[in-house]
Amino acid sequence: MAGRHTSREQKRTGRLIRPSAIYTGPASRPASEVDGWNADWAK
Amino acid sequence: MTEVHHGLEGVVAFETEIAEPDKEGSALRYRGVDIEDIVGRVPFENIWGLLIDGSYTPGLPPAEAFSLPVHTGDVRVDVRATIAMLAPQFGFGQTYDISDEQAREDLARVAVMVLSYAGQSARDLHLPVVPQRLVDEGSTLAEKFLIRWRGEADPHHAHAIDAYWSSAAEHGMNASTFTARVITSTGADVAAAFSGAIGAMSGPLHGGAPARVLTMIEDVEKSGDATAYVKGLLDSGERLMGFGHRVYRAEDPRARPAPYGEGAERSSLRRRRGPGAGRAQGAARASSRPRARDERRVLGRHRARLRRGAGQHVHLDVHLRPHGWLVGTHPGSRSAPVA
Repeated sequence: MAGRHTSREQKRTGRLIRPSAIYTGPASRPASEVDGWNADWAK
Repeated sequence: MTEVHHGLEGVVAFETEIAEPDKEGSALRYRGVDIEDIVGRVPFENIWGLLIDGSYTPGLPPAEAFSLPVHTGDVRVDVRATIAMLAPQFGFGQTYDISDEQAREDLARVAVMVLSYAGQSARDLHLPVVPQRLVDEGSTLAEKFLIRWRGEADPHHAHAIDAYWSSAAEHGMNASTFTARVITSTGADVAAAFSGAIGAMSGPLHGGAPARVLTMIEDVEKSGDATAYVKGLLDSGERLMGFGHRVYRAEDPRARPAPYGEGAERSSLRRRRGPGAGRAQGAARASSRPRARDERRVLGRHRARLRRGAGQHVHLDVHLRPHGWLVGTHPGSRSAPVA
């Protein structure tokens, strides 16, 4: 039943919970450099 | 005094290799690839592969032949409920107990079932279920989805939906991906993460925003006076949905490249609109039926949920549990974590 109370408390804040993330993946690259590229997709 | 990060705003909680929203460049890249180069060109199932595996292939396979067991009249509820039911039906283990490879396979099975269930849920209850042999005739997941829903797949509609799915497939950290990560971090099965994420996504401050944009556009059309409508809305303290974005200040890249349908030109008007408006407009092109919009809202974000689930699985030792602080009347309350 705790969820009922925390939902109400959260509603009162009117805030969206949304933390951030940092990107650590590949650098910008052409779509064709990714494995599995189909040349027909470029047409 | 401990600082409270309300809504965890500004808190960098994760590293991700999946997507990079580029605020300054008004761009969005999936594993380094600008979505403008692939949306509408690369089928959604292969973009799923890029996001999940870092390779277009093998991609997302077709759904297994399961009939939707729940019909509430609300696509979001149907999908949310039935996806959770897949865990025992498919024999999923909890992510705490399974390998990363197994989690990836489970995610694929669930992800494509979201598409299947949404299509089935959107179908008019007075119409018979579409036979699987007809569904199998669809050459892409978008076509199969349309066949499940309407019994046929107009190629323009299929292309529009495919492009929409791809453009909305991933967007870094947000409320629903955070939800998926939290659930996965507890060691729960991937279907639970998916179901919870869809629940988070259904809210009007997240994936539910386009629904309100569409309603607003329709109300403006009925009134015939957009200025008066907007003024009345703002004067009454209501939000103007679909204008502005917490990441992109100038232009939402997801609204730019999407060839949502035949003749969907890149108008300057569309570029000036907020992201919710652009995506709502794109979603509406394939159909103006309210249930259809709901359906695509469910679909437009579900991929992100599962990828976050997969990403989280790699770091199962991290149990996501931020602290809250009691601010009630209990003596000494501000020193007591109540998480």
